[in-house]
Amino acid sequence: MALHSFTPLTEELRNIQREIEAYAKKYGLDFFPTIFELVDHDQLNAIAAYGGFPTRYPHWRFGMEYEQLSKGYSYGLQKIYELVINNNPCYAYLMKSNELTDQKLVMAHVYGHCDFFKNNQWFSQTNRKMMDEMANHGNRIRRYMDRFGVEEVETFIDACLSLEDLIDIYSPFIKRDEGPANRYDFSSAAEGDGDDADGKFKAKQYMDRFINPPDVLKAEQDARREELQAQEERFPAKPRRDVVQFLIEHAPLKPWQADVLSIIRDEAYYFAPQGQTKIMNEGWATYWHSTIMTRHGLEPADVINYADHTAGTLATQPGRLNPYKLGLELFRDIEDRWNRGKFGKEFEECDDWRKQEQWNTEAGLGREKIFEVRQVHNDITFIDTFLTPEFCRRQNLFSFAYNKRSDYYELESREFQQIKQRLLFGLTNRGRPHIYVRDANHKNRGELYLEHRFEGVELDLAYAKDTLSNLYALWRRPVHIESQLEEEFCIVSYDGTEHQVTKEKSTAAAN
Amino acid sequence: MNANNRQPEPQQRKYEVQVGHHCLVVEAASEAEALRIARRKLGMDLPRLWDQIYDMQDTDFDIRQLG
Repeated sequence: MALHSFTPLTEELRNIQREIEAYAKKYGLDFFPTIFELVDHDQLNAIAAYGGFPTRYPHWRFGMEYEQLSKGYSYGLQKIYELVINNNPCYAYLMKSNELTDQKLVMAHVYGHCDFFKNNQWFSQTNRKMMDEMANHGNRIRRYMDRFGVEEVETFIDACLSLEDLIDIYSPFIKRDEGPANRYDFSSAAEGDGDDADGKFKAKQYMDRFINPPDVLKAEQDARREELQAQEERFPAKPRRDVVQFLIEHAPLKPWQADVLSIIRDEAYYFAPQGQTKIMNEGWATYWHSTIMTRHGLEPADVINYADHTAGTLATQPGRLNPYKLGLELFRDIEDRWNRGKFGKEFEECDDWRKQEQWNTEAGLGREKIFEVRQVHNDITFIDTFLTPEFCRRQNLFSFAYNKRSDYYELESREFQQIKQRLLFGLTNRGRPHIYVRDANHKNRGELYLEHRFEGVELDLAYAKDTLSNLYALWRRPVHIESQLEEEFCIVSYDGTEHQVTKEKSTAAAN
Repeated sequence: MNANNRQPEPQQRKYEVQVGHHCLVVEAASEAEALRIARRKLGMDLPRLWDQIYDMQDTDFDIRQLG
């Protein structure tokens, strides 16, 4: 399969690109230079299987994904219209067989994505030269394969890939650790050395004995010292959320293995904002393709095709969330509300439903507002801030859940709070469990102890066991994870030969 | 305030305001007011075109007094 022989755009498509780009710029979209490549369906499936990067490292998983996409296409089950890469310059792949209307639509859609990549804050820390970086990753891994054997490297990559979600998606924005302590700063040690001023309240000399009773002060100091000592003994001192980084730093890995794991981690961080902003990103791109196409791009002959394909993209199957539809409708709702001044104290405090419905101060701030929203929000804050009861009612949103009695998934509620909670719950940490490294010297035997912060959803035991096996392959000592199963505190362990699930009553969790 | 000093209510007339294929009839005291009301109503009816409706020149609208 030749991935490198892309066809340059035809003169006709180049003209369309120029036209659509001019419209996008006129509306204030701001994007990196965008390069369109023309590919056939087979090439597009191959690139999509590689996550958009044709130069990525070789791995059987990409072949598997290619097979799935390829079969889906040939059976008429699915078709990829476009693919766009967050990079500077942005790369976008157009399917050769698309009709001209679709090419216009796709270009307008791509410019929406490019603007989002460039301006949304959650993408601000991503590597904008990822196309080169991925090629670099590919070369490094191919070199390791030549040197240590394809089988060995690929098996190691398999183990790493099952751990790639165990990263701290907020770490690019938050300084979690103070970094290595200054070795010449002895102030905290001095504090612990019984400095009697420590922890004392201000008091006159004759009252000091009563306000700062010596025995209480001593007990406080002892407790503080013990806490400090415990913290020093604990490793890591605080639970670490970036499990992969912890493994790179502390697992007994060979240099090539640490390098491969760091490659997997870098790529996971690169892709993380795309998972965090799926609804917004697709909504934004759809908003712009819809605006540009319906106002400028459509010729009378294109209308039916355009409407047909857009309806296909925006159709929401019952019981499924369509990010394109939800994002688009939310952006339109925000624009309408801010155009009509439907926000702020006066509007919120109005208790006349009819008046609220007809509210119109002609504020005209809609466009400005949606540009602001696309800059600062991610899916969680987007939904948390802008989903309103009226919107839920208008869009017929509902939540559904499994009913044990009927053994069936049923409509659970049309209550706004419940719908919102469900949506937010599914988006938190991209729907993945929160897992921390709590102790890397468990039982003083160098065993790795992880903690799953239980928030209502249990770990899938089969996945947990497989992940523990892969973790063991890296840590090479027994590994454990504490969690909750069937409302009981439990520890799932793997010692290299067998898995063990130890359950205790949930009261033990608190101890 | 004395009732005799009150300004007479401006007379309301019917105007037909047309822009593209959209045509609506509004009651207003003047052409300028008719245009303002028409923009407002169009903005409410066609929220996706709000920016275009408010960016258009007054001369883009055809205003005709009825009756």
